[in-house]
Amino acid sequence: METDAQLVARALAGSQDAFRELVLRFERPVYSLIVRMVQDPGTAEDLAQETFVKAYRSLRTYDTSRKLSSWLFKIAHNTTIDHLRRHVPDTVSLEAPQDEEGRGGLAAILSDTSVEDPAAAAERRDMARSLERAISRLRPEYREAVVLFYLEGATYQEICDVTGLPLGTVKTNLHRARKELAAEMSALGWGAETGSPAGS
Amino acid sequence: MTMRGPEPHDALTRWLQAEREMDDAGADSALLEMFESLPRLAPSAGFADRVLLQAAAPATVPVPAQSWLVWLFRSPGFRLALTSGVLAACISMFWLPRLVITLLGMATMNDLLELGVASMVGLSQWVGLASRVGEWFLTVLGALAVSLTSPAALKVTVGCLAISGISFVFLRELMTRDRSLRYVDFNR
Repeated sequence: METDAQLVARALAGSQDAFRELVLRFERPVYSLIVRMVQDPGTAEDLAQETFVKAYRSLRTYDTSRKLSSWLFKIAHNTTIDHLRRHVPDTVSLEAPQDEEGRGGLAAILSDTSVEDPAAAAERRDMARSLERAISRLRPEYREAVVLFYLEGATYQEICDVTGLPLGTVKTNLHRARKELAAEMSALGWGAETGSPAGS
Repeated sequence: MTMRGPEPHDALTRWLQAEREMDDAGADSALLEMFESLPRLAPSAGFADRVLLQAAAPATVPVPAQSWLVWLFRSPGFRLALTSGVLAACISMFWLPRLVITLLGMATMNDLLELGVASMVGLSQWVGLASRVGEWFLTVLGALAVSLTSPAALKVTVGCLAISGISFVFLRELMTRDRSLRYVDFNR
C-alpha cells in the first residue's frame, strides 16, 4: 500500500488515480469534521468537495514531512469558517426530513437499521441522536476540538496546527467541551442506571 | 455488516460516572471508546469522482467588483475632460496675479473691518446659545443626581446596571460564538 507522500508525489506528476486514492482515503474524516461544524449533510458534502479541490490546486505547497490529514483538516477548517461567516448557522433538526437528494439529517445517517438486534439498534440510534444533539450545542471551537480529538484521534499538537490555537487553549476547550457534553447527555436523560433516556 | 454489542452504552455509563467522580483520564478514555463505536459519517457515493471532475475544471477566479471611481477613471470622456481642465488651470495661472490685484483693489480697509466685526458678533451669539444649552443640560443632570440620592432610586439604578451588564455579557457570547474560529495558514 502506497504511503500518503507517495500518492502526493504521483498526483503531482499528473496521476488522477493517485489523487482519487487520496480523496478516498480522507473523505470520511474530512466530511465527518465538516458535517459536525455546519450541521447539514448536504452543505457538508459541498464544503468537503471544495476542500479537496483546494487541496488539489495547492498540492505543490504541501510539505510532505507533515501529516497529510492535518494539512487537509486545515483547509477544511478554513473552508468551514468561510461558510460559517457567510451564512447564519443552520440549526437543522436532527429528525429533519430527507432532502431532494435523498439525504436526511445527521440522525438519519447515524441510524444504522441494519444491526440485527432491534433493541440494540434503537438504543444506538437514540444515543447517537443525543450525542449529535449535544455536540451541535457546543461552541464551534469546542465542537471542532471534540471531533478532531475523540473521533479522528488527532493529538493535542495536531489540533493546535489545525485550529491555530495555543496548546493550553486546546486542552481547556476539550475539557470544557467534555463537561458540557456530559451535562447535556445527563439533561437528555442518559445516566448510569437508565438504558436510554426516558420518553425516547 | 458486523453485529454490534452494547459497548456504546457501557462506555456512556462509564463516561458519565467518571465525570461525576472528577476522573478526567477515565472520562477521556470512555468517551474515546464511545465515539469509536459510533457509525462513521461518509459523503454519498461517487464523492471522489465529483471532486476529480471539479478539480479538472479550470479554476474560475472571481472578478472583483469594480468601484464606480475605477469605472469613471477608465472612461475616455472623463479622461479628456480631466486633461482639458488641468490644461485650462495651467494656462489660467498666467492671469492669476492680475486677478488677485484686481480683487484686492475692490475691497477697502473699512470693508475688511466690517467683515471681521460681523464674524465676531456671529460667533459670540453661537457661543451664547451653546452655553445656554449646556446650562440646561447641567440643570437636568443636577435634578437627576438629587433624585438618585434616595435609597430606592439608588437600588433601581444598581439593578438596571446589573441587568444591562448581564445582558451585555449574554449578547456578546451569542454574537461571538460563531465568530470565534480563526483562519490558519495551511502552508505552514
